[in-house]
Amino acid sequence: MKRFSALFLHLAALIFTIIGLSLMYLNYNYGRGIHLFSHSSYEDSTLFQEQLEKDIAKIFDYVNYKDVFETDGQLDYGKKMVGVSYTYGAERQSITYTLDELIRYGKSCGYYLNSDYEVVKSESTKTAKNSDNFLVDWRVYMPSDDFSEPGDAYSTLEDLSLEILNRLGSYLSTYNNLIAAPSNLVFQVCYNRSDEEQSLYTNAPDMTPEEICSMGKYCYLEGTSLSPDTNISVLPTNISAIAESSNPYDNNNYYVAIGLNTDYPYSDVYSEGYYSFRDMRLMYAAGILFLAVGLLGMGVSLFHLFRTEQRQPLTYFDTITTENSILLFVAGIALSLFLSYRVFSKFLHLVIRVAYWDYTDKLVAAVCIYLLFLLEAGSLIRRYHAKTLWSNSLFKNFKKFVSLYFHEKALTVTVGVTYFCFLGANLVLLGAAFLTFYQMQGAISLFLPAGLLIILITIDLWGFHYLFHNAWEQTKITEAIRTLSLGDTSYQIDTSLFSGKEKELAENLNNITTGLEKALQEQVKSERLKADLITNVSHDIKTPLTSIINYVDLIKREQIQDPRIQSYLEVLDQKSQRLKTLTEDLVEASKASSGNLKLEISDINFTELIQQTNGEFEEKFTIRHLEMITQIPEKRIIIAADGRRLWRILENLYNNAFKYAMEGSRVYVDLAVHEDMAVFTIKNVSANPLNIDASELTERFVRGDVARTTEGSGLGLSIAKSLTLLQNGSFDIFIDGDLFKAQVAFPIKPKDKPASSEA
Amino acid sequence: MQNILVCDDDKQIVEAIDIYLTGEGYHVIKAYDGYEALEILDSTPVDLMIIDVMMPGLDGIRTTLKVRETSSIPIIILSAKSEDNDKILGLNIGADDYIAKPFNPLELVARVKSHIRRYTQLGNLSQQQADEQVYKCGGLTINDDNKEVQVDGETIKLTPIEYNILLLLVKNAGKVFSIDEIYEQIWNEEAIGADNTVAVHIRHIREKIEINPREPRYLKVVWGVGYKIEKQ
Repeated sequence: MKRFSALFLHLAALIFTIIGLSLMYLNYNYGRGIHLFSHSSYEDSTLFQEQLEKDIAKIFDYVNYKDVFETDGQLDYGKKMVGVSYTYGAERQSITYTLDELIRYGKSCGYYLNSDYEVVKSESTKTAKNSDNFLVDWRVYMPSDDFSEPGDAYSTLEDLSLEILNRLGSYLSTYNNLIAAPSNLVFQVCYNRSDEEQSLYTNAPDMTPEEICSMGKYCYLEGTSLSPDTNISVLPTNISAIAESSNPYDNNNYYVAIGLNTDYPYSDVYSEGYYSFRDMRLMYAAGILFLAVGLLGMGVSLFHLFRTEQRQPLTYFDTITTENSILLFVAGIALSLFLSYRVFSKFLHLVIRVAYWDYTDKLVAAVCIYLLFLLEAGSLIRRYHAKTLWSNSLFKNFKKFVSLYFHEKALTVTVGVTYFCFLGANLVLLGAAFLTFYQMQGAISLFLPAGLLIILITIDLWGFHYLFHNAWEQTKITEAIRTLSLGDTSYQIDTSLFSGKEKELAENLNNITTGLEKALQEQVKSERLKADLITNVSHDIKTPLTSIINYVDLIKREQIQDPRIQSYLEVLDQKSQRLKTLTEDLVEASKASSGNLKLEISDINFTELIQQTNGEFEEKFTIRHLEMITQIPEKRIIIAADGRRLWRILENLYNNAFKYAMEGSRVYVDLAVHEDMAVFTIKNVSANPLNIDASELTERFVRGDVARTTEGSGLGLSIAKSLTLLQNGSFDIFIDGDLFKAQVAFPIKPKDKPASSEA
Repeated sequence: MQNILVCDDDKQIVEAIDIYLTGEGYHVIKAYDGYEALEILDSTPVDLMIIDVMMPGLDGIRTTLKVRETSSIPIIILSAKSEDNDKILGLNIGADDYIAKPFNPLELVARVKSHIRRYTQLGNLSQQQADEQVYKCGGLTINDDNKEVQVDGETIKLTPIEYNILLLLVKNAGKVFSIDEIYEQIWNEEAIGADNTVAVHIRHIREKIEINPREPRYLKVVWGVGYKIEKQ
């Protein structure tokens, strides 16, 4: 659970990081540097400075070009722009071009103004209709042209029209942006020739310079002062220079006033800049916040994730070798890159703007790689913790194999030398055969190579035979060992075709087999001897025991009145009877445990047997007031067993219950079918505490009552267990407090014929 | 008075048997090995022989084989060997009964009585069978006319159900009946299973007709299959 919550947190943090990165990266101001963020307002930002600098330049462009292009305050296309002269034969001719003519010529060359008033050249049009150089006599827009070199005075008509178009563009740009449209930026540039005559350039003719200076941001420069009066933090430094250079008169009687209405009542570049600066700052701040939270969250959750990962069990992926897992990881990266660029990104492109394609593609790939990295890192951590990082690496195995070569130097040398001799002989013979075939002359060039080839083939065949023989010998030995491991100790390898080391190996294996066989036979023999010994001893005990029992009985018949003698006789009678059951059970136990019994296996109806046994014991149980509660299925349950021996098992268990159950308690007898097993269970509550291990109860001579006051040989359960195991059944005893439970299970005969009166 | 030959190399055992049988009114002749027993058989009329298996000289098995060459008297083998193989061997070579040591003296006496009764009464019983509904199986006789059951001539009292079960088994001597089959035949009802009634009745019958119900001579238990009367 902890692991999943850590994983979930980590993924959430990853998403935060991605959002943060996206907010920052997708910001249109991306790349301008973080210091933008430190400016408190748009008017202090470099964005504003750039815009202002551009506009100041435009304002002075307008100042410069207004008179060039305008007549009485209107744009005049008929104005003469350029005067050129050229030499036609010996004659020198002069031509003036009007604005309209130059524009049309420029258009015919493929130049035009786009929506931003920049000169653009359309690709399809051919250039240089007329590449003749003219001598430019004058240009209206350059009143004080000094050509530093003679070449500068020459120009083509195309270049001239381009010059005009550029300047017209600047003029139009200022005119349309600052003058024709309402603007937040107001300016007044005023040059005074004298007190009466002045040239005023402005987009706010109604305002006084003082009004401008009372605006949110302003800049006021007088011709007499050196530095401008301004509240703009960073002013384009060259404003004085530009103002001076644009002064058409030779005096210092002028002023420049520029003001910005920081309430931004009009929609223009400044209001746009102001709002987007605000949004951008917001986005940047959010981005940084997201990024910080995400990165922190990722770090913390990654730490926890890796910590919990240590306690995880190894998955299938963790069991493949370390190198292979890394290879798989690399392959996974390659695949995910392929998929993210070729498949996922295609889906994303359906919903995402073209401008962001590059970013999202990279993002998807990075996320894929990162997730794979998480998987691999988790696996590596689990490996490290389970200590399989090294032990399950290819390199370790490789090292192990290589170290074999160094460990068994003698073998390495022998096998290596043999192999290289074989290889060398092959190469030399083959080489020699070719050489002789091509170099020698006559019959020898046929016979010698043929002979060499025959030797070569012989060597190779011998090599093949050697390998085959080795493989055959190994197969034989493996087969023999498998047979031996399955318990057949009589198997012997025919070593007549074996040779070398394998012959030795096979002979030794044969010796081991023979030894095992002998040991096994000895063991069987000794088991039988033991059983025989017990049988014989018990026979020898039985004869005197007969006399004891008989004479005790005879004394009892004498009707001796003395109560002491009667009690002695009672003891004698009891003990002699116990000795009798003991000798009988001893023989049976030794035979059952040594398997020295002939079983008569037939089809036995287990339910019938239990009913029969119940019938035998029902009355006996009433002696000790034991209530028998039986639960057996109605249908026949056929098992393959020896009926009399199975009866003996049940008899011992019932007798056990009879002897050791608490008087007046209940004895539960169940027969149930579990899958293909018939399971018989008998349960009773012990009269004495069962402070003994369940497995010990089936040991010989162990009884539930340690004091051994009750009758019984202590062999009953042992015999029952041995007999059950002999008949391929299972015998289990469970002790739970004073509850004793014995369970005997036999496999049900698969071909359970439907109820027939089979006898 | 019947003569009973007791042959065992353990003198005390012979002595004890002597006391028990004499007490029942039999005359006991003692022998301590096989040769001695054969000699006595040659010279004296004997009605029953009790013989031990493991004896020096001629053992019980070979003695029994020798006796069976000439005589058909009941022979009871008394042996310390209690395994099935030994019992089967003893009964196969001609012994009539096999008692394992250490034995219950009362059981021995009962068996002796039973064998002697059968041996002596065998002749006249066979004459009665002509016109009566009589079923016989060894020493077990059932007269279905007067519902009388006799074991070795001694009348046994059985309840009607016990009688019917025994009759069913004796009529089909040798055939094994399962509990359900017996139930259906006697009660004329479908057997419902998981009921001990039949088994308990069988046990009661065995207690009445058998000398040692644990080792029945007539009504045998075929464990896990059913019950049957041994065909004799």
